[in-house]
Amino acid sequence: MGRKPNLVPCCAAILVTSIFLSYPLEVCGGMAVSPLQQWVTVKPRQDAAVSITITNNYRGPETPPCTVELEVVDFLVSPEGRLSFVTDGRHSRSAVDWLAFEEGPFVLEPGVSKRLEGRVSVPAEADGDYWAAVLVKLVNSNKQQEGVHVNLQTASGIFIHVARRNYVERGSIIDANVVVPEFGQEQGFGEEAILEQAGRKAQQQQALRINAELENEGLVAFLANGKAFIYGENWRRIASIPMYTNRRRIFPTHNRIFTGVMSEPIPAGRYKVRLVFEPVSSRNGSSTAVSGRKITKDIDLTIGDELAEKWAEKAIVQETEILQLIPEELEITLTAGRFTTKTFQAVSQTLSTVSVRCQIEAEGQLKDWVALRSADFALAANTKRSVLCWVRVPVDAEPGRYSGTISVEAERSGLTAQAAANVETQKIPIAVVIPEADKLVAVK
Amino acid sequence: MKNLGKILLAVALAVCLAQNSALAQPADDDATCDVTVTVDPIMEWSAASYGPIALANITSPTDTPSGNADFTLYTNCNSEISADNTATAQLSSATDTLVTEYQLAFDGDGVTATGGTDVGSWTAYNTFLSTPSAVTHVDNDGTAVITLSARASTGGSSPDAGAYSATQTLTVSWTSN
Repeated sequence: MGRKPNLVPCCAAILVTSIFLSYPLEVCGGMAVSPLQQWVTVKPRQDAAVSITITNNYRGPETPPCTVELEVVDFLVSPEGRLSFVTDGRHSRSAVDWLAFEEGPFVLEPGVSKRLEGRVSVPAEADGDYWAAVLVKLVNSNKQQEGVHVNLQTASGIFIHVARRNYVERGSIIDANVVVPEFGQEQGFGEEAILEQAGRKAQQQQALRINAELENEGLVAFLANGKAFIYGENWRRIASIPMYTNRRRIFPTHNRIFTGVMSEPIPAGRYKVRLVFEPVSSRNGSSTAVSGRKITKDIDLTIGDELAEKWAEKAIVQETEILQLIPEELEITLTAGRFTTKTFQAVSQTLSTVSVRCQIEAEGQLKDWVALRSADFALAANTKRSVLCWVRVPVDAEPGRYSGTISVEAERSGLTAQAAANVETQKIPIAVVIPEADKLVAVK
Repeated sequence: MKNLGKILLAVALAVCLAQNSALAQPADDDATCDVTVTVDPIMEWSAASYGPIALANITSPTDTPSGNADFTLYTNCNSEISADNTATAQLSSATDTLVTEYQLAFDGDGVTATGGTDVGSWTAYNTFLSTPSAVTHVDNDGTAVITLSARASTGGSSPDAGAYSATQTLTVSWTSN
């Protein structure tokens, strides 16, 4: 007796196959993560809440569900300022074991947002700053094909300050050295891009480079600003060089390398280089200057006659402005009671390191409404940085136009004798416009 | 008839009273309502396709097939992108490996549009983005298209025949002061 074919499983298989073919695995949606950093202050033996919001943004009917998973990991910052995420092992300031998060995987339908609540449980013996990161991973289920698979993930940092007592920022310079300029062979012929790259490298080599490695010996993180001063005979200051690093926030037990570059030549002679760093408290992501605690170190520098001669001969005279500010003015329109942010960019146009100090110059109310975040910083040669302006207009502010300026003072490395040429101040006009309140029209 | 007249009179009176009471209400006032919201930094990875970067077959020791994939970063803040520098990012089969190099390109330069500086030269998997690539947000531009390119080569030798695969992980993370 022949068996009758079962039609139901066959139809189901055809249906599943057709869905699979019309909706291939490689289609991918999006994964939005917020915030990227969060700070919590908590006492020993207490708990605190943290959260991360993940969203699969609806970006049209083709948006598929996405699968997301979380992993709480350690991270370290290298002396060069590079983050590295560590999935195995724990460092001495790790907060990984204190953090409890639901790790998933979660399937988010298009347009769905999920707020993941976590808890930080701080043990009794904790003291100072600790940290961990949550890696939010977009799960790629397509593993079978050859080629280069790409995984996408977003790291969100969690910084925990255990407030046991008052802390003092403590650091020291554990290493410092000077690299004198090198003048090699002239550039030959070749492809333009290669020549340009080689030329840029040669320009970098034809400058004085001072490196300093700063160690955080305390229990709390700090930001550091630094400068190197070159002194001649009788401690007469002849040059100042801002020191730059990739990440200024230095965590306890971490080291960071700062570099200062000066392309202006100095004459032959024996010099002292004094490195001066000023730690800045960095609670909750904001920064507060700590007065009176400077970290210093002196090193020797000798410039021979031959080097001085070549350096003077090859020195590149830069006529351009130290900084380019983009945009050249800021105008913000917002109603009373609102808060917003606006950024401008400071782009270094020099071969030397530059220190930048921004401040609001405004009369009356505007000064209270606008604040600059991270207004003091250093830039490496030919690099850029965004400066964030926070604007908060009180509820009772009258409509009108409120104007002021942001003063941006840039100082590049250079000789003290030419200090005027090495410092420039630019102003960005800023205006906050509060429109008349819209009248509501009653519908009758 | 008399009753009907009374009823009509009562209805007319009621209508008048109702209209009068409506008219007696105070005039509409203008109302304002302050609505405020703060937008936190948000970072979103998005991709139209999540398939692997497919490279053409290597049929000669001098072949250097390459391919690329686009990813979109929707962002309202600065960030940086790093890559996996471990052997996972190197094309390998069960028995052999290939020279594996990467490039990264942005559609914006980070000055006039959100983006960053391209890593325009082929870089070995173990040093690719060893200095992370900064993504600079420019106001009113919340999108950066990032193109990851991968290239395979034999290094002049004849690698074992077979299928080779690698997994590259791009991590976007916060920037510091």
